[in-house]
Amino acid sequence: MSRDSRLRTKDRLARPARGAGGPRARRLAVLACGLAAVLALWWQVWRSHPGAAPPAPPLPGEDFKAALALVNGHHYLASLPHLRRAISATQDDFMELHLTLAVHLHSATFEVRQRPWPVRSVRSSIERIRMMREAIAEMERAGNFPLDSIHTGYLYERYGAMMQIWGFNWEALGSYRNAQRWSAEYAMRADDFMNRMHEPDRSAPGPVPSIP
Amino acid sequence: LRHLGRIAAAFALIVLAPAVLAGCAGKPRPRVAFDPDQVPEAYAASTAALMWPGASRAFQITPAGDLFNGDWMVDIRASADAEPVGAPRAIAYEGRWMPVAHWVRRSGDVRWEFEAVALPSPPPRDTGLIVSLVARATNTGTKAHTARLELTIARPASAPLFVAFDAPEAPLPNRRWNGGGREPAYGWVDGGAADSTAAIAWSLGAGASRSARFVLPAYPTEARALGRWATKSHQNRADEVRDYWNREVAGGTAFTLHDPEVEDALRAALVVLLSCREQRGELWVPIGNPFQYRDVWLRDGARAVAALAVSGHGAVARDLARGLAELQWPNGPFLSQRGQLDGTGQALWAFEQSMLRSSPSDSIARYAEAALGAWRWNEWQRSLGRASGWRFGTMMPFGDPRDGELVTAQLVGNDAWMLAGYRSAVRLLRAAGRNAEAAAVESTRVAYLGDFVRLLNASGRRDIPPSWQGDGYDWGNLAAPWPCMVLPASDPHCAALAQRVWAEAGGTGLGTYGSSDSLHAYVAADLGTWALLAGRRAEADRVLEALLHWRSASGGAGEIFTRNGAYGTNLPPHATAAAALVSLVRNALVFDDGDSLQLTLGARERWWSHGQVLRAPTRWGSVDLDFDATPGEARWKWTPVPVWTTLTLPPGSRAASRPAPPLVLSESGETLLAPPGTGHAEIALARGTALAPGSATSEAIASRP
Repeated sequence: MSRDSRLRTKDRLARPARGAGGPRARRLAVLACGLAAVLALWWQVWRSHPGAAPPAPPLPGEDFKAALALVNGHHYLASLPHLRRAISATQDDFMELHLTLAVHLHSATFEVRQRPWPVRSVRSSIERIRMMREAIAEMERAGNFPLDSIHTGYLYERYGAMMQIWGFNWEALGSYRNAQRWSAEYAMRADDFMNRMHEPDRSAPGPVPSIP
Repeated sequence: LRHLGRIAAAFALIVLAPAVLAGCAGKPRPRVAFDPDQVPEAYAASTAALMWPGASRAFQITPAGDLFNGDWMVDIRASADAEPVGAPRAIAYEGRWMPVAHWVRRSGDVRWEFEAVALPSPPPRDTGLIVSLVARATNTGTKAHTARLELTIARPASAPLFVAFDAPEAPLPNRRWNGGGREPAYGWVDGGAADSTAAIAWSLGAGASRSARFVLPAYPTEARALGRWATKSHQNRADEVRDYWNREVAGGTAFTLHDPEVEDALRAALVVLLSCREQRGELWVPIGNPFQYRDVWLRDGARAVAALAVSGHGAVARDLARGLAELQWPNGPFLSQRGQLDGTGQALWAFEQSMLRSSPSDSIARYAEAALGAWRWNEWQRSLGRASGWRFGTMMPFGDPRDGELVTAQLVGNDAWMLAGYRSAVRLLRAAGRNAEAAAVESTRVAYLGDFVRLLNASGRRDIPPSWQGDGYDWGNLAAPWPCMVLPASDPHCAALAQRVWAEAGGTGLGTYGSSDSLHAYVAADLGTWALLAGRRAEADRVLEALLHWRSASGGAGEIFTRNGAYGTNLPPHATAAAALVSLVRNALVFDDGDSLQLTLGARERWWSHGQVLRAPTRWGSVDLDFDATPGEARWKWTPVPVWTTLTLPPGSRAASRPAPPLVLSESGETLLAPPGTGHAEIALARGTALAPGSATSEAIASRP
């Protein structure tokens, strides 16, 4: 497929077709509905938090500070107990705590400790997938807070990056598109990834998302 | 005759009773002479595992004859009059399967014999193991020698081949043997040792022999507890191991084939599969190997579950399947390692393989529900892909498995496995009584399969490529003919794939991986079962022969190795290689993945001298099978099942006449068809196959729709 046709495909997916059309248009409409459904589901989950309060300023308790210090040294796994304690102890829950825990849970699944010799810090996939389930749940909790467009876009982008790294490409693309709706800065990322999904052997490998 | 039988039984009781009573009293049984150097070893460097089910560490007996557990070495230095010992030729299990390890080293006239077994740690620890080791020095010369033996416990000087996940960062303490009171010890020897080395010296006259016993825990253990454990002799500990494994292996399907090599290989494979399990609380999970692959992969775990399920270890298989169920993501799919999207199909297949044999599990509803979630996820993907209009949009999205196909592409194997997962989901849902949902999944399976076949035909490839984009190493695509069975065995794509893969491996029966100089123990082993189903018995037998050959003296197979048997850093034994052997032998005798029961598909000639399979779990219940052949006749007796049974004639023979009704002779003349409820068949034989497997005529028949 030529570069032009790839661009056209990208354009189709970026801007859902309107009105009646041929089979192609119908396919695009179904695709757009699917992506919109993902968006709606997310939005519903995020906005359904009954006692949503305005975003609280970060309250860096001792545990939170300790966690951040550990993360600075790439000790994600060690930061998790501090973050969990910070969440359970805080009186004023806020989005950043949950997002940070989610991101660090994800990062910890790839952590390698160096001594006595290099070995993965998390024992096996059983523990890693449990951590990822927890990370996703924490992402959803983070999304329950009332967020401005920047934070909402950022959350979608982070979730998309997690999904991309693990190989859930349709989830990643859906989340990138949702991020793009909130912040145009994610448009290129979504387009690049869609092109990669379309022709994984032709498109240049995109950057592997870094978390954090 | 009955009278003679009673006399024989009484005689056996009288003769054996003292031995049985001695065993009960804890007295060791007479030592059986065993020379490890007489055991075949396929690999350039012999190694063996001291492992135990549920333990989270294992000891490797290294090619040099030392021990390593991923945390510390037990460096064994021996000498006679300052002449050091050489490396052992082979580290062998008894009978090449029973995990009582033996190895011999020599220094001049002194022959050093080592024997080691692993047993679980005593409570409260339930994830450790303890090794009992005996070293025996024998002066085979005519003059006296001074024999010295030193066992040093230390961390390896450089990065080892594998690392225990819980190896602490802190260095080992100075005192490592018993002798320090209640302190944890890394080893026990009579009298203890003050530092890291236990040293013994003997003056051995001509023909004299001395031995020493060591106890080596996988984790530091209170010295007094080790001392208590050591009060039972090594011989008794070795007998415990023999009793345990005899009992474990006997608890599954019994194969009597008059083929000791195959029977021992099956036992060895089961020892590997049963040992490569870890616990997570109440859960059991399958691991890839006792050393460098102590992780959980769906692609390996599913194979282990299936192999255990078809070999009569159903309870273990179901426990492991329950462990794999932990790998389901909130959105529905199963994934163990990033980018390995074949996991969903493999998980569903493993559930079906284990939960439906010999009868549906009580907890089938849970697995049916999990399968439904996975199916919904993939149908959601397919709907988005269909809407995209992309050429391969209806297939699974690209994956970057960082293994296997080793390419970033849409992998054919992912779709083959997902289709297998759909088939399994249908069976699970039906077993759970959810017929409407089963029908819905089945209709989407047919549509998905249609898309798969259309794209394969449009690809212009004669075979089945690794990826829809065409690139990659052969991996998941090799599972498309079996166990995924996305194409009929007669489909020419399957034959072309097999021919290409086998040709690249030089006709060895195995496949290669990466380099053409390499051999891979299991990646192409599924083609053996495909060959059985396609009537290519000789080719299936070549695969089995290769699986039998490429085993260590301890009976395990590696993963990837050179044709010279060098495995590099990829230590045997590998659980998936063990599963491949179990599956192929079982399928050659009893195959139940299709709509009919197929018996003796690939039974070798010698198996026909009254072969017997007892307690084979199938989808239609537990099946016993007896089969035998004389030059003029073949006979089968089996447990009747409610579906048609296909009986394959002995190799090199054909039917000499029409069978008696209700049996029906197939058009090829090589199989008999028995209607549901039949349990006995016989037919007159003539020598010579009507159609040689692989011949043009055979191909033509095989490729009929």
